[in-house]
Amino acid sequence: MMSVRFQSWNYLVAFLACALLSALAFAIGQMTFDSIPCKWRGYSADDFLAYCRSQRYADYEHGAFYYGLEPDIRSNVRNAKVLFLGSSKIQAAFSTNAVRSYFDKLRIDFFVMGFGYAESSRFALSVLQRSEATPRLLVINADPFFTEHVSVPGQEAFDGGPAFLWRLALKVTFQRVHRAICFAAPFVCPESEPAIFRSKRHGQWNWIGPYTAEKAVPFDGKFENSVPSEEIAKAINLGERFLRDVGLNRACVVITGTPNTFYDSVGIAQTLAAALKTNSLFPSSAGLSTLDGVHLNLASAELWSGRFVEGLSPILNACLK
Amino acid sequence: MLFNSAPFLFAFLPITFSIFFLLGANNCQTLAVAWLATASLVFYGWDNPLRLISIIGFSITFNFVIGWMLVRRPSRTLLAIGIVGDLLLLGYFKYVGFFAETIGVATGVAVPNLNVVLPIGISFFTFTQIAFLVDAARGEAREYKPLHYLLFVTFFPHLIAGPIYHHKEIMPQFERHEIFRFDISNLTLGLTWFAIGFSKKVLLADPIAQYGTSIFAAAAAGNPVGFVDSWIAALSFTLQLYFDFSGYCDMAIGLALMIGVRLPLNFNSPYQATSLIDFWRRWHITLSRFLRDYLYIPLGGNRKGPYRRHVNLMITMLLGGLWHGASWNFVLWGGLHGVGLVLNHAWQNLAVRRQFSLPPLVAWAITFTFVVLAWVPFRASNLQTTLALWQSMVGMNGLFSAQIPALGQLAAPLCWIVSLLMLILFAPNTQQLLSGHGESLEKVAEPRQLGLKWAVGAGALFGVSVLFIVAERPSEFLYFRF
Repeated sequence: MMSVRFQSWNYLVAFLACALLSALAFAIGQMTFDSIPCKWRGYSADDFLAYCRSQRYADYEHGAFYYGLEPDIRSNVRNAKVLFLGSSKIQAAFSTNAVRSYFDKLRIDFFVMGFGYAESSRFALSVLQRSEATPRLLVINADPFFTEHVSVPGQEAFDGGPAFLWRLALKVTFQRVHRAICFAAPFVCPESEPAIFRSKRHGQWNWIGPYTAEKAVPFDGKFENSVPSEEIAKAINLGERFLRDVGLNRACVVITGTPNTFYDSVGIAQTLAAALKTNSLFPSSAGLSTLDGVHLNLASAELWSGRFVEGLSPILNACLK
Repeated sequence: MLFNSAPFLFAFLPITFSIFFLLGANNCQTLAVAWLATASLVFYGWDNPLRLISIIGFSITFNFVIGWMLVRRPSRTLLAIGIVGDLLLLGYFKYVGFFAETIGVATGVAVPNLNVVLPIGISFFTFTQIAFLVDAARGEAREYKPLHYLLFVTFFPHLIAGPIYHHKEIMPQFERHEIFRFDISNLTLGLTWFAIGFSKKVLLADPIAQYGTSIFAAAAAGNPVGFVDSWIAALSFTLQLYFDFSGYCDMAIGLALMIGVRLPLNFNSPYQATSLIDFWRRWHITLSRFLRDYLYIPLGGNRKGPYRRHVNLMITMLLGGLWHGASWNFVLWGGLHGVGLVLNHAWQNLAVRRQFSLPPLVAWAITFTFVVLAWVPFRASNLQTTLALWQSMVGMNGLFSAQIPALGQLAAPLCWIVSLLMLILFAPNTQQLLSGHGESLEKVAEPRQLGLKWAVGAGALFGVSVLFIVAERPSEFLYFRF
């Protein structure tokens, strides 16, 4: 009888172990099969795969920040003295050497914490709170940013459903598998799918090259759309709440608008800065180009962000005192 | 609640069985039965508790009272009241809209849409209880404790889609002390059955469904469907239905086995049948058994000569078709099988008299083709779609739907169809795999006899199936709608 019981327990343990292992192996296999064409040369000790245009991988950065999945990402957000908030537009504008060298020279920790999928303030605030961030200076690309909108991946992160968490776990694992396979046997990785890599230390994107080629759509200062006044009024209300929750002196909040031809970002940001009684900063946009009318191209981002951080110095000095 | 859903697998099942065995281990067997019945009601009422539980609660109370009286004093009148009551309940929820619509079409009178939503599993629990009443009137059922009766009807592994069981094969099992004691052998054996059924549903039935669904939808929308496409649709559905329903039944049997309860088998490789008579001995066995015992035999069966036998067969199959759903399509499906069975019996008699028989391969091909053709009305949304698809299947609408598809487009469905056909024709079925023979659960192997290879294989199937339902939305079983 003991023997029968023992064999049955063995059977159960083997069954469950195989169930777990096969589920893992199959899931990773599926993810790898689907996402192996993702660009891989952007991986580094500091950079992770934030996005890849494959069906199973797609967005990872929302989950990675919300649940602190990449090593040190939460502590880097927490320790950053200067935080940049916004959507992909702020990522394009401040993912530059100009910004990195400026803050490195001053030995000030900074973090560019914008998100793709036109993400806005609700998600950013959650990440700030979960990371227990205590910035001394906030730079917000507000065009208008303060909205109730939450992107699909942002909402999935909020909901934290088992399917989403499972996919996140697979994405974490896939990066290790992807790196190992592609570094060892580059010929099996076609690099046909665009990807965005992101720095764990500074949050900057590496996307010109892995995601899109450098292009130059001239920027003439004109814009195609305007935001209705009711939306601006709502943004002011939400901005008030957001800044109250962050609890930072308004003099240490800088609102800006990255140049683009889609919205009058500068005009919107000026209105919000005046209403919210924050600082604002709008470097000259002369001679700039975009990738697509919305995001600054790399050359212009270097130029514009360099001008921006120069202009930021007095505010930064005052806030870091 | 669905067997193939994360809440069932990771919350309902472990909680239900843990508490059941905990109560059993503490000699609280009555409480354990009450707990299992309550959990079964929660399982049943998951989507709409108030409505579903009140309907099944009314049905159970009504049948228990009638059954209780019939056991004390058998009476044809009382039995008639019981059966009519059951059929009225079933008729109202399942057929009133259908009859109203049919009368409207026949008379030209505008009949308002009654919009009666079918309570899940009503056909199954109604039939289970009608069988109980008939047996009570025949003196074949004794008086049972109300709690045991409640569990007999609601026992969650079988409640929604069968197998349809007899009280005499289940009630005595609820009285055995063994089922209240946790037995690791039962658990592992049940888990193995469950894993096989689960993978049939998730890894075979669901993926092949896509090839049939789009073509049936195109035909329903009035688009001409080609010969190849129509056969892909019909064969896909043929295979989907088998793996879906037999997968469900394997899961139900496995769940019951986890507590040592043995449910009757429902499938025995039906698509290997070499005659329609043989097919109905292998397909949905418990429904065939019910129709035989409680409809065909009471009508006279084969005792009143060949003519009456054929009439009785036709009536049984037509009603069996209507049992599946309130639609003329199901009546047509039942009628086709009725005609097929009549012809099969006539042919059999002739073959016996003349002492000849068809080669098995020819007999199988005729049977299988008939069954596939008959599944078309079972799946199609109306008679026009059925007719259009039949026309396509005999080549009246060209070889392909619109243009000749690329080989790549045909390769996937054809690979699926050929692979699954090989599986159903040449692979042993679940009970053959687990017991070495295909007729009953009595000789099911112990896990120790199954060995480590089985643990690895079944565990792997289970793991991959769970992955599918976690990553994607679980789909309903086809027989839930009946």
